[in-house]
Amino acid sequence: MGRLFWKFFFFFFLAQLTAVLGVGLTIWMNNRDRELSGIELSPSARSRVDAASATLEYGGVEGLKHLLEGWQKRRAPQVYAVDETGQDLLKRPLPQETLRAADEVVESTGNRFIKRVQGNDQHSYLLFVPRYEPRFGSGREDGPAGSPPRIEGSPPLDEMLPPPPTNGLGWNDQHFGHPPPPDGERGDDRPPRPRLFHMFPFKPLLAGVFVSFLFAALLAWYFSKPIRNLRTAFEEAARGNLNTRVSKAMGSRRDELADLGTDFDAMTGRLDSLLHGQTRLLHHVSHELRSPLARLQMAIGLARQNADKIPTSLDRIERESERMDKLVGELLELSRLESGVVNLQKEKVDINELLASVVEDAQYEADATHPPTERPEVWFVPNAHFVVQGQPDLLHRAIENIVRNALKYSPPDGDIRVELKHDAEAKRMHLSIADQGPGVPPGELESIFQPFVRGSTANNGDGHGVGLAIAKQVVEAHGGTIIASNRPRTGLLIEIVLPYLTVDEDV
Amino acid sequence: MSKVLLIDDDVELVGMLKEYLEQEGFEATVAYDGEAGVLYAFSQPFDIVVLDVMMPKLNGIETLRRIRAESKLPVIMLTAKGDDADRIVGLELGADDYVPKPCTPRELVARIRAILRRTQLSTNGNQALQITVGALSIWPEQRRVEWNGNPLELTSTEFNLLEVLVRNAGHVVSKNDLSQQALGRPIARFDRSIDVHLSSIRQKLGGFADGHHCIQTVYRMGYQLLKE
Repeated sequence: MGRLFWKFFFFFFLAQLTAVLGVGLTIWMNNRDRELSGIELSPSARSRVDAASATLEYGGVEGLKHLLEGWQKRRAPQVYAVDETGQDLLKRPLPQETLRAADEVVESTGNRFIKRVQGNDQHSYLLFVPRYEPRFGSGREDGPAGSPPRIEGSPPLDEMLPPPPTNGLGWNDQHFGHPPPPDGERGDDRPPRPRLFHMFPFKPLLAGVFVSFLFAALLAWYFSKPIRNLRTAFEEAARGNLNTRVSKAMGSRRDELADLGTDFDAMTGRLDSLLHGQTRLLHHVSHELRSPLARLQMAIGLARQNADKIPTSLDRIERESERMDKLVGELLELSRLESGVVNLQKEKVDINELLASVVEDAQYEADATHPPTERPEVWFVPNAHFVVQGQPDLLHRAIENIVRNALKYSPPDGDIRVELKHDAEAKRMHLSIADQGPGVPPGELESIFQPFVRGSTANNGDGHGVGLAIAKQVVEAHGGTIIASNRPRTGLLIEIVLPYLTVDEDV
Repeated sequence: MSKVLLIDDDVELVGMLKEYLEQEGFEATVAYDGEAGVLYAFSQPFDIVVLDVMMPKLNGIETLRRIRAESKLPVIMLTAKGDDADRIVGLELGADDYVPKPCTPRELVARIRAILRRTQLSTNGNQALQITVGALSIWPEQRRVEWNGNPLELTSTEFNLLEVLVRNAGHVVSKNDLSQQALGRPIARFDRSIDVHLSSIRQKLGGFADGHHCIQTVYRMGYQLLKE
């Protein structure tokens, strides 16, 4: 049980306790008013009064008298029928206060508990059930305050009426206290407080407190448990265990806390894959750096072994160190792009101009590295003129990487086609670069954009497998997409889709 | 002239290595992937194989497994520095030694020579020499081992280690001495190759009736071949 549990518990309990006390107090105050009126205000009293009034209406005064006498013999709430002079039909005594209260109740509650009915003997009768004080301990009998209301000189009400049951509907329940004695009869030995105190609903209150205690504990547990689960999961994750998942511990819960658990799982999953990606990258980097290092050492060894080989070895050493330099530069670029720290310095870039320069460079390189008879041709086929919003050097690098890649895998005199099309519907420009090389196996079409992943058909050239990864990052940073597919017969087709700023269909 | 088979996908590197080895008086053949390497290894009689672990298609470990399935040809692995898993797996599969890559060609040639010296020394000489310790009999010149009369298949490094232990039966031989005599090099710090080789020898050799193994590890000292 953590601190949170106790906090939840304390506040829930406090809230429920306040509610219970408030409701209890309201009921108590309400009842106190009723109790003090001296008139029974229960449903059974009401039905008796209804019965008596009906009897009076249809059976006349004699009928009512007969009924009341019959009731008097049983232990049941007694209906009093009082005429204008304050005289009960059966000549039973009644305190003045009760009569006064009866008049008040007639006014406040209408005809629900007290009825005034015109009898057939020219008298109008007030029908009601007075409230009696039940018998309590022996102390009650000795003082006037504890005794039921009575009229001086008449026998006590108790003696004439059967003692009321101590519970049950409509009859006096001791929880609801007792009517006050008439003012004049209030004893000095019994201050009013204990009486009111007595009326206070202790048993329901105690039950309420107990139930609210129980529910507060349950509720506190219900809220603090998932939070505790989350906390242990966070601790696990902080310790480096990113395989921690909390969704299972949440069970079938469906609420914000369960959502938090799912979010946590998603977060650790993502972190885990990112971390794995980083580890894999580091592994690849070390391997990629190791190869030129191994060649460097081999070249040095050769030079040591035979002084005649020093010039060729130095050439090799130079080449390898340039390769390593290039690799390190590309890696830095890639990691900057991947981490998203590059703030694109966006400006208007004329794509056709950019492509023309890339194609020209590529053609120049192809001419320089191939004998004249097997020169690959690089074709540029623009169908529209585009201007995009972007960073020119990055876009140049991305497209150059793809074109160079195409050139690298092209067979002698295999053409490369750089095509630019307008997708008017989607408001995008389509740039496709197609070569006539061997293509890549279908399963590797997506992974060639991952750093250091070379297609298995790749020759062992001087590439590092970083170029296409950089291209993908650049295109995506410009809000575009890049996909690779194999051409029908042979060759790889790389398509870049980019949003453009302006388009001019006339080229 | 010793014949060396180089299996590595780095064309430029093997080109230079071939050049270096030829200058050193070896006859070098090059295979650029594992499959070709396995084919060459079985088609021509080589004295030693230098095998790169990191290769596309058939990787070095798988290549080694295929070579070992049919031959006891000495194999030196080129492993990435710090990649202990590859190294241990390679040794367990029966590689004779490993050289971390990148390495100087001088170091590689020294390792090749060390292994060749041991294997070639024993192929000429007195055929009849036999050493027997308990149930174990070895014929160093024929590189033959028998346990209770059953012949055992050991790689050349395993045989070298066992031979050292047999010649010193009853005495503790330190790991450094084992490395010097069997691998031809001092033991490097945190080098587990001796332990890996000995554990595979133990698996091939049986134990005594009471459950003891005839090769005992003496904590912090080395290994000992029990006489009885």
